[in-house]
Amino acid sequence: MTASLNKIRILPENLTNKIAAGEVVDRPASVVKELVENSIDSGADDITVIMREGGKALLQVVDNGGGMTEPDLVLAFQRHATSKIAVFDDLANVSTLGFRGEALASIASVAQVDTRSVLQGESSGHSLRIEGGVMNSVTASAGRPGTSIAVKNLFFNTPARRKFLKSVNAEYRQILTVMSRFCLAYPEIAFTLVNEDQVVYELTSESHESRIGSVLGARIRKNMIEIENDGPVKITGFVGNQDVVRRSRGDQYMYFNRRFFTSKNLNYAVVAAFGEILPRGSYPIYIVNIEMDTSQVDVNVHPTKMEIKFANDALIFSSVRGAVKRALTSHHVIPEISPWTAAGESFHKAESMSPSSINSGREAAASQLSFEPGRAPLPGWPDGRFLKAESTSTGVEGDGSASMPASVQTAANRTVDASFERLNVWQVHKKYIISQIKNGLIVIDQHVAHERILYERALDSFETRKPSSQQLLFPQIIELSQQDYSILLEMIPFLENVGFVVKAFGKNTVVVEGVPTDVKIKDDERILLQILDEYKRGKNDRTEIRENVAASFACHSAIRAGDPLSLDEMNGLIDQLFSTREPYFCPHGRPVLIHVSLDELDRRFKRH
Amino acid sequence: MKFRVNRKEFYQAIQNIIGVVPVKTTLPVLGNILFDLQESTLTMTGTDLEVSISTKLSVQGERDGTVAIPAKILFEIVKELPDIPMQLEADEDFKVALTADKGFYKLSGESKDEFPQISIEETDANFEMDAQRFDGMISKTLFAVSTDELRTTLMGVYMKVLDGELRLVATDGHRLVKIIDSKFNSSGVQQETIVPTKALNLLSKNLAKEETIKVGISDDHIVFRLSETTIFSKGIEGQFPNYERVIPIDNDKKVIINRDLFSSSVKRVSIFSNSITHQIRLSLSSGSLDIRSEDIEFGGEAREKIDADYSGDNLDVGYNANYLIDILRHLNSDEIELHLKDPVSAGVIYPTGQEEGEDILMLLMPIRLNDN
Ligand SMILES: Nc1ncnc2c1ncn2[C@@H]1O[C@H](COP(=O)(O)OP(=O)(O)O)[C@@H](O)[C@H]1O
Ligand SMILES: [Mg+2]
Repeated sequence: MTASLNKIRILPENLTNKIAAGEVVDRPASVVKELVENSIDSGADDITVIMREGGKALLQVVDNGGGMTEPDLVLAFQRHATSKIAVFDDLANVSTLGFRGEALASIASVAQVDTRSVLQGESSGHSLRIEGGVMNSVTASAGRPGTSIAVKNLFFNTPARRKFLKSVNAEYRQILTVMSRFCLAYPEIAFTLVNEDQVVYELTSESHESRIGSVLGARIRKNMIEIENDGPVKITGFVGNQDVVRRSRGDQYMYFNRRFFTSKNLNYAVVAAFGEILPRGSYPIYIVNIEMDTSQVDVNVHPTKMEIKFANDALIFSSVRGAVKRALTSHHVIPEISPWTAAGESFHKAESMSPSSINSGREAAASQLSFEPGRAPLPGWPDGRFLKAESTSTGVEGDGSASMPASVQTAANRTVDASFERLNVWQVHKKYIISQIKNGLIVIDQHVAHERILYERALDSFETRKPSSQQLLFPQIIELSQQDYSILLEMIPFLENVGFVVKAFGKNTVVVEGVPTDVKIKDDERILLQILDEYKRGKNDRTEIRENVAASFACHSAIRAGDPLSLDEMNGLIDQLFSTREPYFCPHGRPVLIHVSLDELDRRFKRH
Repeated sequence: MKFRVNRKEFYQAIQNIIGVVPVKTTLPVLGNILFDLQESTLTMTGTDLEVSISTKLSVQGERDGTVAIPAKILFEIVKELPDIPMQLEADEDFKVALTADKGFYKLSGESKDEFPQISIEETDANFEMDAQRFDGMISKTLFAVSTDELRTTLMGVYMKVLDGELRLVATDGHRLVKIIDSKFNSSGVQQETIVPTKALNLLSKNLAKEETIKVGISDDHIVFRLSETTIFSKGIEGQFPNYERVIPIDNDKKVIINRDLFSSSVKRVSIFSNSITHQIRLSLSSGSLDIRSEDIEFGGEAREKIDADYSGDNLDVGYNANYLIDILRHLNSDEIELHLKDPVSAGVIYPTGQEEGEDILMLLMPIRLNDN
């Protein structure tokens, strides 16, 4: 072995201080990130990641890269030992993924690490075992060229941190996320992922497009448009067209020199390129790689390197937006002269002016209940509910919303049950149901009302009912990304309880064989994806699985604004609404109905 | 343009094509019917860009010309007039004057240049069909077509022409109808396409007095030529699902039931089913069929027993009563055969004794019941 093969140097003290300090490993997924980065830096084109118990018991990364000499193997585990930068000037020109030289040292101090490394062209190399930072001696070991690093029992010596790890499933999903980021950035590298001795996927070296299909599914691949920008800021990648926008964030991949990072600003650049054609509350799918001279950036902002500071933010923003916009326009996703512009704008304007904004959200609605604080509950109104509604208004009393007329309120403080005059029901704008009640009139939002009904029905069915299910003649086969697949798996038992028959088919694919009989479902394939997206959003709010599934199901199975309703259907809806436990708010806290009293009408018409 | 015509024939002609005129459209000119007068032949054409229909009517022509006239208002006024001769005249500004007896009505038309040009391409694949026979086939299939706009390929009837066989298939994913006419002569044509519901409805309306239909078919459109009327339709793009694959061949539990008895029982029992799911339960046992429903929320319950020619093991299966009634209504044999396998797979329904040269099969997917 020649001395020139020894590459690792210890960074001089002043340089190490230049580099923001910080803990590199906080969970299994970040170990995976560091190890795979090292493998990529070593020139590997075949990387296998093996794990057990969501990486808590074992995380092993095997590559076929350059390998390390015996002295390098030892040095690699010392803090600030790196082969990647030697002097300060280099720091401005980082082209490798790692450069701090602190990952292996940090990992080795909190786990039992077994490393074996064989140089290219050799048939034997060296093994080294480190436990909690304590190094054993190096032994000779035969094997194929490349490096294998096995990290066992992460945080075994820091029980406090081990306790903070999430469930096996949650950690596993994080690892899937981290791996997707690599898979999508390095299509030329073969990646294999093994979980509990089972191959999760085995990706061969392939084109970028075909890699997108392997990771995100064929449907998304078909709907991706290539983006491109030349010049000082080179941009490559893909963006999903309108047909694959999502109701939740996710599948948004931004890279700088193939290093994954997050940036609100650049995410907005993509969204801005879509303009009005992006439905509100939906998120585009994208894979964007920005390449430019590294002297223009500081990758060092955040210790786990998820954020990047650019010297010329504005230029990059407009390059990204331009690249996406050009691609969308040339694929006719955006009409050249958008006829929707004017309408879209006035829509937003109208909305911001409408008094309905007062009713957005439970707090606002509840605050209306406190206009006459201290008023006794009306006859027939259960005290508990009145108090409950009032208690949610803490902190809102006496704020600006007092300009809302006192008697135009949600009906939460009125007795409305059973007092409908059944014939007097109208649907207006295919959106609201208006009905006369004893002391005025009531306006019901048909979608929200049905949502509340279905939500409670779903919750009940988790407890008691074995539901019936309309079987499908053509079972729907749905291909998902790895992440979505594992999320769907946790939802399946609950979905079955509301009447879906969903079976895991392996290979990130599920089959829908039956749908609930008590809701009108239009597109069997799309509804499941919509429920999934809604569920993911709920997940961020840490809602319980069952409530989250129920709310997601209700939201996407309920009748919508725009659905015409017959008299019978309206009466049926009202009946069912008032047999729910909480008829006045939807699961997301929006009001279901508004009550306008006769007094208020009289006052407005100056009859008093 | 100027002509005289009898109200009766005129009204009939408008009625035959009005169905194509879209109720709501982003292209207002489609709310018109195009009138084209050449000597004594008036050709009226309507279109929604997918389906077009034009019909010829002989009139007393006075001045040739072409103009697009608002369909709805014309239809309404002609409908209300008594059977008397009337005169229709359009000037250069496309103002249309309708005179009948003592009445005078004026409406604003549009230039023919605004109206989309409909060119009916000639196809090589042409053949003739028996009009009444085809009408019968259409009426037995259309009910099963899907109305789900998100699954466009199911929104029409799949039509396949083979030598000696005409095949229609319709499905909405819960039920399916397949009809084969095996006495059919395709004149060597082999083609398939998905014909939109609207085109077949229009066709059916115009078939009453026809004997034969000339059909031209290609990959992306189909033309039906009747004696006075031509209907042109784009085929629905996309792949019709592989229906053969889902038709079960091993349904060994076979029962023969009187169709009328069965159908009226199901109707009565379904009154007591849940108003949203319309779910009923069929229980087969030796010699009889039990039909039951219950609506837990409202406490209603119904049960009927009818005779059935059955000797297999007991079997319970759930269906949407509306689907079952639909199927029974579109068969016309005295008895039907129901072939089942288990509570979660497709049931097959045949008429007993198929009509000569006709082969009908209907599929119905069950509702998996709470207890299995
Ligand atoms: N899989 C590997 N193959 C070859 N060399 C490796 C591998 N992993 C780590 N090394 C060596 O160990 C050094 C230290 O790794 P690390 O602690 O991650 O710091 P950094 O990657 O930031 O340089 C690297 O610079 C590299 O020389
Ligand atoms: Mg590293």
